[in-house]
Amino acid sequence: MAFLSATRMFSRQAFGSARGLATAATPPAVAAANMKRFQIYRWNPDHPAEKPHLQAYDIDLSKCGPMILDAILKIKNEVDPTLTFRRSCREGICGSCAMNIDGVNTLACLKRIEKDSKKDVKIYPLPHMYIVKDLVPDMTLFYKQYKSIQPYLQADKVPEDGKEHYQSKEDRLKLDGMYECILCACCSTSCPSYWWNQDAYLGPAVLMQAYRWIADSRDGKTAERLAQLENPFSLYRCHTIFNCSKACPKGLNPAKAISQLKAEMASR
Amino acid sequence: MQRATGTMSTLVKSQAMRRAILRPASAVSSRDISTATISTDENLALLNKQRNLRPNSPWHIYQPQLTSVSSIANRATGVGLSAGMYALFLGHLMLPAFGVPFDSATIVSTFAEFPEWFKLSTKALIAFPAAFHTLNGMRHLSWDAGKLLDLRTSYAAGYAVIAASAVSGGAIAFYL
Repeated sequence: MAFLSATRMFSRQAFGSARGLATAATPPAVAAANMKRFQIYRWNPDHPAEKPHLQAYDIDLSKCGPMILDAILKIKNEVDPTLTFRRSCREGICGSCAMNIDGVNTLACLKRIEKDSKKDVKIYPLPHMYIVKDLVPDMTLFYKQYKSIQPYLQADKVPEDGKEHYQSKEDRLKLDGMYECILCACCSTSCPSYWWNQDAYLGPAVLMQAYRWIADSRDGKTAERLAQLENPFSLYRCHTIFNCSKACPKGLNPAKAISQLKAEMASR
Repeated sequence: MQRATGTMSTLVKSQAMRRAILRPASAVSSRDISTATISTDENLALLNKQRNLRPNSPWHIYQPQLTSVSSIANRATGVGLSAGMYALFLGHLMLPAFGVPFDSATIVSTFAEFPEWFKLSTKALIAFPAAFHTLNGMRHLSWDAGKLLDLRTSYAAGYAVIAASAVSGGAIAFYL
């Protein structure tokens, strides 16, 4: 008898609140408001004469997700629907939400909001890019440069079994750290050399992909790929400033790839 | 019964309202929407007109990091030291022709006359940039050789270069 009542008591404790039993209910604690100011770069192409400026928004962090993207989506949904930015996967794999947050290029969906309310967050678009609207840069030149290196396999011979280009594990390992690039342009737009020579210098992202295809053992057009870089600007505007590897939100190392590319050029 | 009818009519009304807005394409008359067709060339011309007005996003807001600061410092010290060297060499070449004595002995004796603080600051002004440029140059050469190319090792080497150039620059300025 006592045993039965004990189990019943135990089950009520365990499941009472979930099943809404009439136990003494405490109201859920209201989280203290933690206001943080976001200073966001704005420019409207419908009023092009108005100079770009920073607009301030105050957001309650206790009612917001942890990432910068959560905050700007909250601003767009609740405060200012005209705020414009690119976004898609919200998990750091598509590269759409690349922007300059607190002075550093990164993905908004991967950058945590600092809880310190005393400091404002400054959100700018990727540096030294032409702006379509607010935080949206014109990526046309970046994509053109990527296309120019022919980022696809150009095998010189058909495989023996006619099915698959085989590659050893060692050769496949050479591609690690380069194939994961999501083309977010954080690295290229962090490079001062790319800022000054955007039209002629290819930039770290594109150069790392150029080396990705040169390092690929299945690709047969290595000589042509290297020959394409034989000019003062495409590759050799890189002065190993190293901002690219620091900026990469995926932890890749374009600077190392470019250095290996220079070594290949020297011995071709 | 009456309540039921009331609910029914509002339901019918809301359904009709929804139907009025969400009509199939076949039911939407062409007078409701107006579009303008422009050729590909006109499209490109419009795009280029918009592109002409676009601002360039600021780059000076980028956070100064060890990477970029050590790189620009390398360049600045290189330019400064080169300018000083050119001035010295050209002075050796040209100034004696204008009657101004300019050889090692004259420079040393003139410099020795200057006040202590001036001598020390001039030496420091030359020593620190020279030390930094030389040591960072070695870091740069190891990059070209394929070493220190990870972010962590590059940063460690950068801090080491700054520390070493502070020490050696100070040593040159104060003790040489």
